[in-house]
Amino acid sequence: MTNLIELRDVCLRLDEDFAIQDLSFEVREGEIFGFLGPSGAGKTTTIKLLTKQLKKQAGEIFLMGESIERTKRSRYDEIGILSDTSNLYDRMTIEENLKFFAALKNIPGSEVAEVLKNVDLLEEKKRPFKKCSKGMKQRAILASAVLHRPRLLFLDEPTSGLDPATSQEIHKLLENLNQQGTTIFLTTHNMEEADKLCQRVGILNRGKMIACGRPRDLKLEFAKDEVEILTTDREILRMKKDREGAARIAEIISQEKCLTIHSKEPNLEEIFLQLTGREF
Amino acid sequence: MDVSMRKIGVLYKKDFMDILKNVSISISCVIPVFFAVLYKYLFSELPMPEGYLLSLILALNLTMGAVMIPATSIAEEKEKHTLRTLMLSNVSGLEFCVSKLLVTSSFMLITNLLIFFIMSVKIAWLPAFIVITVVCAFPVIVLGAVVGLAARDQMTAGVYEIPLMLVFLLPTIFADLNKIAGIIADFTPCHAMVQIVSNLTTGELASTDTLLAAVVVIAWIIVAVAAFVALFRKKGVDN
Repeated sequence: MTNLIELRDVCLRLDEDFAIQDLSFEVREGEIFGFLGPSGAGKTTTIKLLTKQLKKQAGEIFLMGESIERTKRSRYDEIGILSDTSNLYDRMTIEENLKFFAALKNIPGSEVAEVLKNVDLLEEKKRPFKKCSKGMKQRAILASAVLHRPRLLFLDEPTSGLDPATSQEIHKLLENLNQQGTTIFLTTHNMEEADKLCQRVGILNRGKMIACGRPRDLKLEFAKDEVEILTTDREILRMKKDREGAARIAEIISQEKCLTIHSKEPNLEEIFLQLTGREF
Repeated sequence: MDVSMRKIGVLYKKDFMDILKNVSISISCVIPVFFAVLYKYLFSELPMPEGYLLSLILALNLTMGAVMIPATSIAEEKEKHTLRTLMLSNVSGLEFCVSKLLVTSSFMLITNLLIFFIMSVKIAWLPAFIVITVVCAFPVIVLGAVVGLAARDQMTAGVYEIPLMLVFLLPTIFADLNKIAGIIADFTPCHAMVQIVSNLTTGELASTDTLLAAVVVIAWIIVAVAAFVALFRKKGVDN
């Protein structure tokens, strides 16, 4: 599988401190890659490096197979970016905004209606952007970023500050986009979101990658070596995953005393806390 | 740096419509036109050299519109992060700035033409009038863009605009009343434009005065472009 993004030992110092330190990872074509970490971990800085808003001081960055220094401007036409500060024009309607960005990206204006439909804003297209709710604004901004059906989409905290219902809608949109072939690089500090959407995640802390892999694999890697059993007596029993524990579990089951049985896998948030001791 | 004329065209169309909807900017174009109407009907009976009132209103238009439109417009895009969205949509800083300069020039041309027709000056002067006003406005528009690049937000741009507007406008207004103001005015692009337009209306366009005023305008073009390039290289367009 082709790597659309590849970083090798990338370093960046900002104000004497390392913002990014020896960062190495890759994002494969067709996946949703979650880039996780608390505020100030270096997630947005990494996006800025990948979108040429900042220059690395050491290491190598490859974008769509080309070294980022040699990446031509036209290559960025294949990329969509929704940053944490992206915005549209207040005095224009949603439709005018999207038609403007469609024209900038050399896309027929007729395709705007389809994108508006996909983000569920077709009926609100004549609404001035400044009069939209936060959720509508975010969907309109996302629509402007994906108008040209990008091969690679950078999303920086796309659901930050949105209510759960709107976040769900955005998640659905992202899943649809991914199914249509768009590779998504998603930064978030919402571990639930990452768990739900991402095929692989990387956890960043103080500019360093401290874990990377499929959420399920990470959970197994950091899972406690025990199983929790709820008995018919409403008693919770914890057994080690060894020969002795297996015998005890078999005994409880044979006595028909077992109500539920669970392996103790941590969620991504617990993994992060275990790795860093930091709070979100 | 590669520049796409198609993108500049799209940006130009958007900027033009946006300025029309932006009351705080479009008012700077309406005020000189309003004064042209006012002066025309209030002072047309007074004994004044032909073209004097025209020059006065052109000076007002030049210092208000040419500074305010690019400065406020660029600063607003920075403040509201729409500039960042444009940059991330593969628009270059140069394409963004060229569009702002072209839109401001268009608005200046439209208001200057309105003023020209309201003041009912000779239609034969129109071609020369267009060339003079467009060329003389250029350095002031570029300086307005410099203010926009230097400012963080609209409020800062407003603070930076005022001294520039006063330095260009006041000496021109008081040039005939005060000797020092007259000397200072001789070195401003605003007064140079007034001088050349006056020479046009009095039939003295081919004169030493016109040549000196043209030299002042050319010097300002060099200064403004140098300031723009230096700031653009140092800061880029975005915060």
